[in-house]
Parts: sequence; structure tokens; C-alpha cells
Amino acid sequence: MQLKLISGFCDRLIVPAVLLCFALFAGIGIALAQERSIEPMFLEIDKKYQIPEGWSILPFELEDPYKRVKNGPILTNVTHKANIEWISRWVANPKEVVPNAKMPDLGLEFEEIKAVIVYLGSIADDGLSKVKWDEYLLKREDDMTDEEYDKMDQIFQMGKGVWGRARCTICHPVKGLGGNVGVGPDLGSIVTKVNRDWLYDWLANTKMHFPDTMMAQFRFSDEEIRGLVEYVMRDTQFMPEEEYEDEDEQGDGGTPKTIEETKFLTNAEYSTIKGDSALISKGKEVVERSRCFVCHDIKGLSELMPVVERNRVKLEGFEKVLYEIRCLTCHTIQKKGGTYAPNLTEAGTKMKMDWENEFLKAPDIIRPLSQQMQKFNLTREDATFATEFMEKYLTNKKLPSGIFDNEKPSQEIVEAGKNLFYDKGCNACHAEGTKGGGVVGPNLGTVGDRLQPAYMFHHLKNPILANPRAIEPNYGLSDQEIKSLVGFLIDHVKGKEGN
Amino acid sequence: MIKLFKSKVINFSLIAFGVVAFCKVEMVEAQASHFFRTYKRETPQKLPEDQNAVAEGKKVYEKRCWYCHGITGTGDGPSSRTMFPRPRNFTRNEFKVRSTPFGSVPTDEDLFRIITSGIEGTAMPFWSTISEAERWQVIYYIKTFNEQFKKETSPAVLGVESAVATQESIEKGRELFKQVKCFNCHGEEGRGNGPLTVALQTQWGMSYRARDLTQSWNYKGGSTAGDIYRTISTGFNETPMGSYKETLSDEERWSLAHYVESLSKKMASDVVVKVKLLEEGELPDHPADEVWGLAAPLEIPLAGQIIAHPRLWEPAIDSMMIRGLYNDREIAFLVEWDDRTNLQEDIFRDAVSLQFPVKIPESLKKPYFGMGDSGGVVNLWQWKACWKEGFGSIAETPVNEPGEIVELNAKGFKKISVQSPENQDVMGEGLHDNGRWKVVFKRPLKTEGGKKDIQFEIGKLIPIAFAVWDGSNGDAGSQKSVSSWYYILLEKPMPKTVFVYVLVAVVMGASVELWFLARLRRFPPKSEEEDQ
Repeated sequence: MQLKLISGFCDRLIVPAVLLCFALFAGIGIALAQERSIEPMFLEIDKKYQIPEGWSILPFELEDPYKRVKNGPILTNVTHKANIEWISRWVANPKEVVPNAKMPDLGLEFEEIKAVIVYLGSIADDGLSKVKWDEYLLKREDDMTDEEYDKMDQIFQMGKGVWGRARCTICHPVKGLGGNVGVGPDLGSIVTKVNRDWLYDWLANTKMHFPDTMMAQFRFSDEEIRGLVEYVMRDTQFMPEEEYEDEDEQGDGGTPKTIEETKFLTNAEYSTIKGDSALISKGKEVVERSRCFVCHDIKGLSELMPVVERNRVKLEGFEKVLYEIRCLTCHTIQKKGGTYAPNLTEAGTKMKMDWENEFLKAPDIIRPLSQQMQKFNLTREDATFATEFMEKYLTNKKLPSGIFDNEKPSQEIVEAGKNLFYDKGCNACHAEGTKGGGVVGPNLGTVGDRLQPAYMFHHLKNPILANPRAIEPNYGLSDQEIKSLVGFLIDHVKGKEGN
Repeated sequence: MIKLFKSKVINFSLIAFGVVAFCKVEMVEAQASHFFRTYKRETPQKLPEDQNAVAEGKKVYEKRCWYCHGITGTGDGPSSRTMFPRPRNFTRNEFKVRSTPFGSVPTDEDLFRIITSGIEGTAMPFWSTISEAERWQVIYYIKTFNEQFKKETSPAVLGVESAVATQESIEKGRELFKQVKCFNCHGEEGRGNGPLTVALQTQWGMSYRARDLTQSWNYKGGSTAGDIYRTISTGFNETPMGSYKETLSDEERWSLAHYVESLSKKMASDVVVKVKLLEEGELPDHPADEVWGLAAPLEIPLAGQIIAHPRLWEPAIDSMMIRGLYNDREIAFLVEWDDRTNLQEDIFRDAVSLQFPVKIPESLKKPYFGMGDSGGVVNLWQWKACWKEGFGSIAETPVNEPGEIVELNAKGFKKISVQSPENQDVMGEGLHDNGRWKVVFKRPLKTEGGKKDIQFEIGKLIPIAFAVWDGSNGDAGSQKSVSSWYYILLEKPMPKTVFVYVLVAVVMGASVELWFLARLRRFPPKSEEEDQ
């Protein structure tokens, strides 16, 4: 009887017990699967702190070219890239070789430098792909026939044009002149460093040998690259000046030279010690102790400072354009990037996209030449990616709206705005197309095509608020005055086009 | 009987002396352990690491940690932007103070020690204020942010056995410091001004700063030889400070640790700067003058100015040293502070300023320490490094340029006025040498500036406050490192009569004692034995 009772009791208990067990397991399972579940409220607060109000959340994390994992180039194939003699002088005293060098002087002795170079040679690949050049292009100018010289000169002149159009000097100073952005090395004696094969490779794909480089990948054609190579390898501005100075000094009667020559490794000496295993291990030790791997990716040494590297395997759309062109070297988006060119964080609310699209494909001149955007030869597709992205994400939802959205400004408004424009002396800083005027501010000749009326209103209301770097004074205009000024600027351009 | 009494008296006085001596030792100890931080190596018994503990740890994290380390552990919480160094990003392996090999994650015990003691030179406080159980729980939660904690179950723990510092080991360490090129980052005199650090900071804007090894209060993970040995052996993850375990032998690492320890100084601070009387000769003009050795230096901690806008959240300079000398006509101060660079820009320049009230306060009430207030005007002596280049360029101060000194008055952050040229009485010069600025200020004790200048008086406590700017850190205007009020005291010349007073006191004390003993002898107190 008792037994029966117990078994009956068990029967009734078993089902809920099993169920309970299941629930427990499931519970544990869930708990294990979601170790960290953060309340949405916290994430909401976090987001508010991270991004200012009015900005959109971008679909991908922007890459700031100024915050790189490693600032220096990858050293794996550096002995193929640069002349041995050049590397030797560079390591001994970077500032003496390139005036705007950012590498510190490591204070190495000649023997150590020698070992470092041999070590770097030992980690290099066997050889890099060779580019095919026409025979005569490898000759010195003096050895060429007249016909060959003319052919070479044609390529050279074409390259000179590319050099100018691409505005290389905005980033690269040449013998101390130019380089306003402050990012590129001085090219004043580049011929002593690189060879034409490397230069071709570099211009064809800057990211191949140094994925973190800040240099834009210009969409050059093969012909353009060949021209540029010819120009850079042969123009005297890219050669060191020392030779001429020497001649002058001798001409003056030969003042004795007092400058002490730094000892450097010659190509001939290098070929005799190349592959020396004692030097290789010594060089590796010097590289380790000098902490070269802090800035350079060096095969076999990078684990001495493991840092999270950026994965760029599958870039698409605008993210790919941003990476290849390195737009953020000059522009800023949401606090990331450089300050040389206009901030693009609110470009979608600022610019008219039709104009922007055309501008990206072929930039016209708005600002002084030294600030003019380079011609990257962007494709139609690239430009569309960019404008679509701007419209969708680079907006400020807090800007005023409803200013000349659909209506055309009346003649009275335009007239009032015109008076205001000249009364306040806007033309002292801004030029109007070809009509002339100041060059402090951007040319307003096409401003009606370029900027959205609402942004113009926002900007004139308080220039500093719209652009913290603006030097434009705040005239404290009333809303009505600003509206008439905006009306004038829109109409002004239309009138011009009609003429 | 008398013997017994005597021995009682002696015992009592011995005990009293012992108590006094003990108190004194205690005080010294309290001063030495700056900010009450001590690194305890032993950790209490671990809690079991289970789901419950992680859940409890999450509660602790979301109460105490997230506002700096971020709700998702990425080190970007709302208050992180006011901190330098930035809070740790737990999703990466950035852990610095570990007993595990370079590149691996720390042990639970390592994390426990850090949470308990905090980290010097950073905003990480000591969380000995929460229970031990809570500390273990929050560690288990923090470990969920990084997958590496799961993969590495039991990393090898580096044993820290101590070795005693000797003159030989320090000398050997000095050689090793050169041999393994520590100076490339830490500078030749250890002030963190090596060429690599300076290049990374100024050319590349990277956040790596080699430690100023002279400042023991900024050593991450403790400043004892053992702590330094651990750092040299295990390195700091994700920084140029790597592990030297493979490069140097155990003994060599101890030698290096002893040398580094010998470079460091304690924050020996006080409230009063004693300005010493120079009885003979002129006061020194030059910062490198040997006469300065006569004056006792005082180290003064500084903090970023965060009261008036714009504020300085990331001060680069956290201490300075001052000493003073005076004679019958003049007073001179030597101010020193560590600054890795000597780079000046038009408005961003290295500078220092001394602040005095215009009138020596009779009571405890002083002007507001930040540039005075409407009720109390202050007198400022400001030195700025020289800068002569064209607009926008950054240049190093030439060696022979002494910089310029301006005398100002202020009654509040916005109410500053430069004194008229005929009232500018302060002279001086600055010198940047191997990562350290040294600036001399010199002025007559009394001036004709009347109510606008401080008039120094011997033997009185005169309030003084300090401000230092680091141009390459972007300091300018109200963005500066400041101190609160300290005092200077022009020490009175010691009259010869002082020695006579001491002699008189000794004689009097002795005679009272003798009288007491004589009295005891004449009227012996009745002892219990005699009563019986």
C-alpha cells in the first residue's frame, strides 16, 4: 500500500520534474549563449555620447589616415625599393636626406646600419616584377640619338602635364617648396632613392607595397604613369643640388670643404656582404632594440608589438573609394581625418548633389590653386557612390529648411540682396566668377549651383557655427537680410549662365 | 626602594620615547606611500567563476566601471574623453601590468591587484573600497569582453624573486640602459624625452609616451625594484615597451631595474618653500648656477585647470620643483619641470607663472587660488619661452634665448592686466636642458610698484601658487597645469644667541632634575615594605 502510494506520487512528480530539468538546462543554455546582454537603455545612452545630435550613424567604421597602426612603410622589400646608398644615409640621419623627414635619428653607428641593411635585404622577396621599358628610355640623355631624345621628350612633356594636373606639390614639397597638406615626403632628391620599376609600381597601385599609405590612388592610365615616371626620373628638380654647388665653389677659387661626409654603405660593398649570416642576426638585434617595429611592419618582428590591424579584404562602394583615394587625408568626416580641405560631415545638407557629382569627376576651380582639389580621374561610378553616401549619411537634420526650396527669389529680394552684398563689402574677399574680387574666400561665381539655399542661410547666420575654421566675420544680419542675400546669390549665378 | 622607583621612571620615559619615535616613523611612511597606493602582491581566495558571479560582476561593472571603460568595454565611456592615458579597451589585449608573457592576457590575480590598487599617473582609482567578492565578480565580467581569456587557460606566471640593489648592480644597469637602447625612448637622463618618443608625439601625434623615469609616482604598476623588474620582463601590451625576457638574463633585468629605481625620485612635497638667506655674494642669475644647490628644493604636484573654460583635461606636466634664495636686497627663485620637447608656436608656448597676493594676508583668508578674485588681487610673474618665427610655424627655442618675463595683475580669470613698463621689476631667464626646463625669477625684495606688487617680508608666511604651460601639448591661456596655494618663508638669519639659549635650557633642565632627585633623597617616599 505504502509502496503503491509512493510510486503514484512519483508518477505524478516525474513529469513536472523532467519539465523543470528541461527548463533549467534551457535556462543555462541561454545564459551561456548570451553571456553579455546589455540593456538597450545603456546602449542608447552610449550612442548619444558617441555621436553628436543631428549626425547619422554610418554603415561602416571610418578609417582615419592620421591614426594608423604603423606610420612607416612596410620594410619587407625596402632593399628593392630604395638604393642601398640612400638607405644607409637615411638611417644615419633622416633629416639630412629628406628635409621634412618624420623618422627620428636613431643614433646608430655605421657598423650597425650596415647590419640592418643586410638584415632587411635577407627578408626581401627574390625580386619584384619588372616593367617593360623601351630600350632607349633606359639610356642617359647624352647617349640618345636625336630621334630617341625627341620621343623621350614627348613622353616627358606629357608626364609634366600629369604632374601639374594631379597637383602632386600640394602634398609633396620639392626642395622645401609646396607640400601644404604636410603629409608627403620631399621629392627634392627622389632620383637617388627609387628606381623606375618601383616608381611605376607605386603609381599604379600605391596600396600594394604599403596598404596604410596616406597617398591617393590616382586613376592613372598606363601611358600617364609612364609619362610621370619619365618626368620624375629626368627632371632636374628631383635631383640633388650638391653637384652644382661644388662646381660653383671650385669656380670661386676652391674654398676648402669643411662639411664632414657621413660614411655610407656603397652598392659595391653591399654586394660583397649580402647574405652574411652573422650580419643578418646582428641586424635583426639592432632592429629589435631600436624598436623599428613600432612604426614599420617588418616580417618576423611584428609580433614584438601585437596590435589589432585593420582588415580591408572586402571593401565596397564608397568605403572602397574612401580607402583608395584617401579622401580623409584632407577632408574630415565626423571628427576623423585631416583639416586641409572642407569638412564633409554635413556635405549632404550643404552641397547640391548634381554639382557635386560633376565636381568629383572633374573638379573646377573654387579656391586658390594650392587648395584646389586634385584630379583623381574618378569614374562615374565612384562619383555616384560618393554622392549617394553624402545624401544618405552626411547630413545634419538640424539645419533650417524651407528657404527657396521650390520658389524663385523675387526681383525685390534679389535687388535688396545685391545692395547688401556690395554694401557689406563681400566682394573684398570673394570673387564672383570672372568678375574679380578678393581671393580670401571661395569664388562665389557658381555658388547658387553649388550650395543648398538652406545651408547658405545657416552659414550666413553664424559662419563660425557652420564652419569652426571660418575666418568670415559674423555681420549679425537679420533673418530677412540673410534671406535676401541668399536670394541674390542664387539668382546672381542664374543670370550669369543666361548671359 | 629608590632603585625600584628609578627603574619605573626610566621604564616610563623609554616607553614615551618609543611611542613618539613610532609616531614619527608612521608619519614618514604615510608620506612615502603617495596617495595611499600600495601594491599588495598577495591576493585573497578566488571566488568560483560561474554564471552567477559573471552576472553579479555585470552589476558592479554597470555601476562603477562603464562611464570610463564604456558599456561595451571598448574604453570610450562618456568620461573617457577627459582622460589621458585613455581608459583600457577591454575588447583588445591592451593590458599593461601583468605577470604573464608579452602579448598574453593577465591572470585574474593581476587584475585583482590593479583593481585594488589603481594605476599611477592615470584616472584609474583604487577600488579597495568595494568588497573582495565584488572585485572577483567584476573581473569575471571583464573577461567576457575578450575572447583571448577563454583560449588562454593558464598562462605561465613570471616569478618575481627579489634581488638586493648594490652599487655594482646599479652600475651594471646603467651600462645595460645604454646597451639595449632604453634611452631611445626614455631619454638619456630618463625623463622620457628620447628621440623615438618625441618623434611619435610631435611628428605622428601618437599617444605613446615613454615614462619619465625620474617620477616614481607615475610608474604604472608600482615603483619598487620588483615592479620595475616585472615591467622589464613582461612588457606593456600594445606599446613600444616590449618584453626583455629573451634579450636579457634574469640577473641583468634585476640590475636594470635597480638602475631605473635609482633614477626615480619620490614626490617629497611640503607646504612651505623655505627661502634661504645668502649672506655673501650676489644671487645667481643663471639656471645652471651651482649656488642653487644651497637652497632646499620642494616638489609641487600640479593638475589640469578645470574650473574656468576652456579647461585642460589632459595635462602633460604634473609636477614642478621650486627653490628660493634671498639676500638683503633681492629674492630669486629657480623653477624646474620636465618637458619632453622644446617646441614653441606663436600662442602655444612653454611658460611658467608664479602667483602671489599683492598684500601678505594677516589671516587665513587668501585671494582665490585661480587668478585671484574681486576681493583679492594677485601679482603674477610669467615667463614665456622665446619664439621668433613667422606665423604658423613651430620652432625650437634657440639655446641662448632666455625667454621673456612679464609682470601682471589679476583679480579673476578674465580680469588680467599687464603692469606698465616702468613697473616691470622681475628679471630672469630660462634654459631647456635634456628634457627639463629651468627658469630663474629675480626681483628686489621691495619695489616701487606699491599696491600692485608683493612686498616680501622676512619671517612671514607668504602665499604662492604656480601654473605651467606645455606648448607642444596645446596649452595656452587658461589651459594650463596649476597648483593650489603654497607658502614661501624667508628664513630669518640665525642669531648667535640661539646657541646660548640652548645652553641655558640644558643647564636649567639639568638643575631641575637634580633638584628633584635631591628632594627624593631627602624625603624618601614610604614604600609598602616599610609600612609592613
